[in-house]
Amino acid sequence: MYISHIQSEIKIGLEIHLQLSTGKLFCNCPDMESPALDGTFSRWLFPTGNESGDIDIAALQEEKKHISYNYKISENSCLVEADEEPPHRINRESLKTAMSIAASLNSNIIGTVSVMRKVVVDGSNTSGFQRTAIISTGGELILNDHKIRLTSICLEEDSARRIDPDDGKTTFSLDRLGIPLVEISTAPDIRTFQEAVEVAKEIGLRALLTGNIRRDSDAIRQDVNFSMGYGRVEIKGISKLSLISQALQEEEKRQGSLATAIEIFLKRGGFTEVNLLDFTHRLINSNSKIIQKGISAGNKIFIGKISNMLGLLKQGEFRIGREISDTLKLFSISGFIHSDELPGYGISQEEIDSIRSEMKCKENDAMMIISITEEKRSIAEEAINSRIRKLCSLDFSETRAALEDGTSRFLRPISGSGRMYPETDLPIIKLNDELFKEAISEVPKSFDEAVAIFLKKWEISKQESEIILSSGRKKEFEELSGIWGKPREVSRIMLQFIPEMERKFRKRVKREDIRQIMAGVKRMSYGRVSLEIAIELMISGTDINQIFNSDLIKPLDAEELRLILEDLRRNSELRRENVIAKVKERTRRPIDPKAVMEAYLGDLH
Amino acid sequence: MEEKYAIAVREFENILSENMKPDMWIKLARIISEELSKSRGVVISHGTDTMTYTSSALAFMFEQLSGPVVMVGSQRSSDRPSSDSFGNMEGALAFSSTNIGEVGISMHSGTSDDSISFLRGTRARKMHSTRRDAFKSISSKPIATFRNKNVEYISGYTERANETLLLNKLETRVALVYFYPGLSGVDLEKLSEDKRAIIIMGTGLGHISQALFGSLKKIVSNGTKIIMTTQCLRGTVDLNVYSTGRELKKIGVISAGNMLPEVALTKTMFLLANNEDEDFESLMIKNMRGEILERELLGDVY
Repeated sequence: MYISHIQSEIKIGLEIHLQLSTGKLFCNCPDMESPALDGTFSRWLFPTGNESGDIDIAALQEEKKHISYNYKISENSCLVEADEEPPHRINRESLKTAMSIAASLNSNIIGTVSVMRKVVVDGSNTSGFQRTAIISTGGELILNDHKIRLTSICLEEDSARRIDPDDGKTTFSLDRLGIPLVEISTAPDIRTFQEAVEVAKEIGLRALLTGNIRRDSDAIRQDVNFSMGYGRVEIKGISKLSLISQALQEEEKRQGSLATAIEIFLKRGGFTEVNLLDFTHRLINSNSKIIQKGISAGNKIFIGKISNMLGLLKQGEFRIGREISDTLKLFSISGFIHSDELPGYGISQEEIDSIRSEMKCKENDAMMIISITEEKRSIAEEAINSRIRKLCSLDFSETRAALEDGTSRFLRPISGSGRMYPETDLPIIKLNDELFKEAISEVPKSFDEAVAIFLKKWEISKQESEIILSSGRKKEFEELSGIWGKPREVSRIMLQFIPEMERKFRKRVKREDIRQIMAGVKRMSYGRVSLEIAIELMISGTDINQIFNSDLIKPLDAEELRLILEDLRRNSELRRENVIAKVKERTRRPIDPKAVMEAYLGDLH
Repeated sequence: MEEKYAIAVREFENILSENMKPDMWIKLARIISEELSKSRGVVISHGTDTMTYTSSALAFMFEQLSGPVVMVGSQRSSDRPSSDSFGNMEGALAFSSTNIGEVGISMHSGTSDDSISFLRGTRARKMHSTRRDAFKSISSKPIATFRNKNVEYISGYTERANETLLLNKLETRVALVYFYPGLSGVDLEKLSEDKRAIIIMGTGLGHISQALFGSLKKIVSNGTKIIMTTQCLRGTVDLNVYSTGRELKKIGVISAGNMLPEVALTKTMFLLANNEDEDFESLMIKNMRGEILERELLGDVY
């Protein structure tokens, strides 16, 4: 049974993170996807006291995990990402984009920007901190006549991307590390789950209008702050808008069930410290595969009694077992078997009865079986006890990681204030008038206004303008139009031809490659048909330099056309209506229909 | 670390290493000597910028050592979680409890935190301004590495002696000059004024422009010794191969062989202060503290 909570108690705030396509924030590496190189290196991280001498609680939690981290070097990384060189000066274009977004949301841009270090020792930053700078404070968004206040807009560097460890080691790729992120935080003014989705969508759209947002599946990520009376829970890393509402529903359900379970637990008599006792000798002949596997791996089998917890670990909607196992996972302890799952896992009723009687288990007492090394015993005990103690206080505040299915898992305690200290390797940045002027001139007003300005400037259709702007491809379009010179053709190629070819060859094309192909074909003064053939060749896997030397993209010249027409006339009946089609049948090369017609008519005379 | 070692801490100077001066090397050497009479080994935390000048000066001043003298620093300051100082220090403490009787440097072997090298104080050089593995043992292998909590010995070393012998004098009237196309004789002579010796970092095998020969002759006639090293850092000076070299030799220029330029500087300071003038050249080319490589191998150390 789960107690339904009235909506008015619910407080929701959002943090929206948008990756910028301006190149990395503190070095000259590109922000694009890039292949991994061969190199890997490993590092330890040590939480350090900040200037006031506290060590942050979230940082300490990570340190308890005793892990060395591996990093895979990517092509778009340099010594800065490897924490082997101080940060370079902040990327000006990123700064400008953040300022434009701030201005469009009426957030007050501050005159001097100081970069700070936010301690993060989970390995996702090689330095052990994330660089972040407040760009503006305050601001608001009005949605369906409801005002949502903003607290701040920050510019920060993205973390390294965790890649699946195949060797059991925690491994990150350096490709995402250092990509600029604009972080937009709202006050807890959001009232409903649906409103949270709408706010995220609206903020995302405003930012996309700058044209400097990356196009990638996780280029926009949302963190949700949620409270229903049991403390603030931060759910990190929701990559899809559609999952925001689901994540909130799941969290409401989780906290509701937890509160009910804890209420029952406390009524029964509440918490007694869990001690893990060595039962290896007693279970040495057990038929349980899990137990035997553990013993042969050198583990011991420990049993712990959790007084008053029977039926609350995993029964009906109660899932305190998962709360405990999530915590244990942080210390690389893969899990445990508990009484709500027994008999099972090859453990017989007889074995259970015997253990229960030896542990002096009362009716409502649960027990857990855990297979770990002796060294991990005290770490596990502390993790289990501190988790249950925290739940009993009905303070559920913590940071959780969003999962693909809409649920989330425990990540770490909410970070304390001890996390920030100044980045001493960078000077304070004064935002000068010139920067303000440039940033303000690029401020997107409203979407409709932006579309109107855009289609007038480039003389393309309204529909095309809308697609380009709402998908954040403004800069890409402007850049390609600058190269090719014919905006309408660029729009057609970007929005129709390339997606068609990508579907055909099941491959994503790189923006840099398109740029190169366009510039090359333009240099040779060939037309759209040549360009399309060149793009198709490229996507099908032909080397770019080979394409430029290929006859396939070269339009037929007058002499070649004359020979084809002559041959066609000998073998078939050629008419004004079919001449272009006939010529096309003869060659894969680009032809200019006007030139064909002229040659055909000219020959007639 | 406190559980494994009994550590006494003593403050020497709290300065940036670029502000170190030869008289501080002497002061430091005295403290080391004092501490070695009470301890198994000494670890010195030192800024990385001039660490190899200090390490080579100390190496020459100690005729013999009753324990390892380990210099340690960090390329990433200890206020950041990713600092290399913790690993370097752990290695330093491990090296300080070995039976090595030399001065060396404990820094990262590579960019990873899993290996710390102990580099001979007279062959080490800072080869990168920012990387953790900036310190390299030029054209030679480290003495040892520390990985997986173990010290592994890689190349030969001098074992510690029963007692420490310190010769605590240095001649500071010595200069180090970097030759470049266009260096004027006037400048060279000015730099050599009142100097007992100058170390020149020449090109290639140890050459400088023939236009400077007149100045060199003047400098030598004033009683100033001229020692030639190479800007290549790797490889040796050889004044027999080209006519320029042969003429330099005739003028009286002394070849430092494959000694590093900064090491030739500290060695000169040491020799001039503690030995007779006439023994200078023979001692300069004699390998005293591992500063000269008897063999350069075609291996992986280039």
